[in-house]
Amino acid sequence: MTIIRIRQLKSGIEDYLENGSKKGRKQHRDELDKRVAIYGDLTVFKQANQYIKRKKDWKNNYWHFTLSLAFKYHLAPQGVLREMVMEILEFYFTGYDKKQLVAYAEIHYPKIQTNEKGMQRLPHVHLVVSKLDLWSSNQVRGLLYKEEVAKAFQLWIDDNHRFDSYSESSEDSLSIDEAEQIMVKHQQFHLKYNKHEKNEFEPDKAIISKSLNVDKEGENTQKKLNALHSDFLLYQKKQQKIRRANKLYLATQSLKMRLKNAVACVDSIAEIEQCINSSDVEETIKFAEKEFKLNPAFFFIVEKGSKKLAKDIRTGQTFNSFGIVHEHLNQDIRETIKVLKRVGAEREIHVSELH
Amino acid sequence: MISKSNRKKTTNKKCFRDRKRMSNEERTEKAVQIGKAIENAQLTEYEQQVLDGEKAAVQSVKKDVKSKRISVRMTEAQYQQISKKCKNEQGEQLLTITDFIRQSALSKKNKIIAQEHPLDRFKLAVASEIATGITEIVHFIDSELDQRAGNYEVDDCLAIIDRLESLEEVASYLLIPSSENKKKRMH
Repeated sequence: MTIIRIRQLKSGIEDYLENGSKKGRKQHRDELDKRVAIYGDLTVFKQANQYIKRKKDWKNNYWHFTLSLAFKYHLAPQGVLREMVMEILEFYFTGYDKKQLVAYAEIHYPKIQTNEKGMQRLPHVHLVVSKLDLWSSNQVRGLLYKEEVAKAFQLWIDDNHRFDSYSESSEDSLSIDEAEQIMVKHQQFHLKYNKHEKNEFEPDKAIISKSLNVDKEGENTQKKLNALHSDFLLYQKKQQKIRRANKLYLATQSLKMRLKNAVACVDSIAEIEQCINSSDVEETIKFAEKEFKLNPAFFFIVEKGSKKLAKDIRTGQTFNSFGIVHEHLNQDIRETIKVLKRVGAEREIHVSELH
Repeated sequence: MISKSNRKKTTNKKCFRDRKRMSNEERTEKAVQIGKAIENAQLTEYEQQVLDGEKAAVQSVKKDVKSKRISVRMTEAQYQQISKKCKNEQGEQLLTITDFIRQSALSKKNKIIAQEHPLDRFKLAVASEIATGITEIVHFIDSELDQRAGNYEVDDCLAIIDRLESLEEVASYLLIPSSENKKKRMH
């Protein structure tokens, strides 16, 4: 049940991804979601957008794809979402080399569970693709939008990852073969009218001059080189500052966080066990309702042996208190331990108040 | 011994000795044959010339075929401005818009105002290619981690990531604006 929304926009996505700014919303992105960059580099995307703004006068500067899964797949591995992003790029930008496109994608795992309308927030992916064709400098021509094709692609992507599809239940449902045929036909139509002579513009083929002679020992050249060097140092510092600010928006950082989380999990195994044993799942759900707007109506308590577990009625999966915080509220290991300690501390205050 | 030059002379003499005197009829017949042969040769040469001429004509026509198409989108105001330029004061059309655009584009008086900054775009393309390449390496490590579950060397992976990060840092210098833009921004 993948929902793919496609929009063409002029500006504003950088701010939305970095800060979460949106009409009627006060929270910062980091309070709302756990962010995992999975494709490309946001700084490069920003730079491409700036180039378009400076040099071009286009109606829209980029595409914004939003991909979200039904709640029952909220624990789908990152690898699946990553593959889906690659499939979207390959399908909607058929005929283009990946190197021609400036794209950036990140997953948002919701920490705050319900939105302003009180509805469950879902894990989703934002994929942004600049309209600047890096090789030819023309506008990237994505596949033309056609509802029938979009439906076929949705069905195909669901089938590819073994997800249930909406169209399976509807009356005018397509078979997977029919969907594939529609997709291929549309791609062929697109390629027929959009032939790319891309190779002549590829960076390693576009050598400007082979016979550039520089007199390295000349006085003037030395002066110019020194000026360039000092200029470079100045901008290097500036760039390092920009990079530090944008470090989170890189796939390397997401992997680093994941590995550090794995190390933290091994190092704190005793602490985690202690947290699980000492915390009560009902209290954890109450705490999550208060702090993270988790809807308790979706859970009921089951007892397995001497332990209490929370069963999610939407998925049928059971969780202990650690699972609720780590998997549902998308907190990392360190934060999960902190949250569970806060739950324990609140219980102690409550008990002492009763006495 | 007969030398090379002597042999030649002997052969020639032999040729003259063996030659018979031709009758008048034979001579006429031979003359007719020679005449026909010359006529045939002239005819073939002419036909060849005609053929060559035709080929050249076809080729010259082919060279002039307008096979390339340029289509440009204009705003309503721009279109009106151009169509006005194609008319005289009385509003009579002097040439079509297509001809006007062709003439003005091919005119030697044109001055080109550069809109693109090829070096900036080139640097951007290289930086983007490096970013995509690094993402692919990260995806590879990540999928390996998924497959091997807990059985992997975290420290090795972290060391690889450190190196990728330093590559990213160097690649980010490509995003430093080139000198033309720098001056504008520094002021």
